[in-house]
Amino acid sequence: MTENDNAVPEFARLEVPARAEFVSVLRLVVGAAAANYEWLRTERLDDLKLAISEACIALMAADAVTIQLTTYASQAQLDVELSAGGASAARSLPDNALEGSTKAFEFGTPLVSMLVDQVTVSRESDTVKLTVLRDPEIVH
Amino acid sequence: MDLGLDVTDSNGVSVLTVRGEVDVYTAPRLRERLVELAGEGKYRVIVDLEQVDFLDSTGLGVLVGGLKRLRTHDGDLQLVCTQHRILKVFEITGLTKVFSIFDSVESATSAE
Repeated sequence: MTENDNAVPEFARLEVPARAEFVSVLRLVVGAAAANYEWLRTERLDDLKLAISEACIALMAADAVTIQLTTYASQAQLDVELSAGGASAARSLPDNALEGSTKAFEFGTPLVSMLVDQVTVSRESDTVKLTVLRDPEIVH
Repeated sequence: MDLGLDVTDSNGVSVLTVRGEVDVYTAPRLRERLVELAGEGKYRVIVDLEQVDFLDSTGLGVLVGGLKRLRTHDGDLQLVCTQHRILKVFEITGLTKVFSIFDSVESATSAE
């Protein structure tokens, strides 16, 4: 535990059209958000970026109009929330949003769950939350 | 985002060298190139992933689709990849059992 462990998490937010060409932009933002956290080694960051892509594919399959990415980075963990926006045109994220419900997402299911420490899908807010913990052995 | 696709011939086998990121945006271009190769009667294809920085499930889907297409013509699609972060995607999804993966184009062609 260091003094910085109790610091307020850094916060970043970006909303982009839910189109394939913008997914790489979201990956870049997360890379920047993670830049100051040495515990987030390159391999784990690569895994997180892949999980973000898979989550975006799921949100696009759910007819999201926009995708809003929010990151909360701290010395303890990095949370990435991906929310479907555009309200009226977007239908709810299906129950099996991360269970290979679309052809494009056929291989996504095992990927997301194995790439990050926690995955939370909220149908109410059409949000996928991905969490990478500094120490996955510690239960939060 | 840049995706590089170059095709060369190696002992009668088409070698498709892929560079950059293969994701939901760029994967359709890879699919088109594989379809073109099959349309040209090139049913033996090696996809060299050594210069790929990123590969997601849509990229995997394209490669599986290409493999299926070529096998219907008694052909094959082999992969060249030594990068851990790319190999990991194949391992997690169990696709290492589906594809023949080599550490160089030379070893892939000599396995023909």
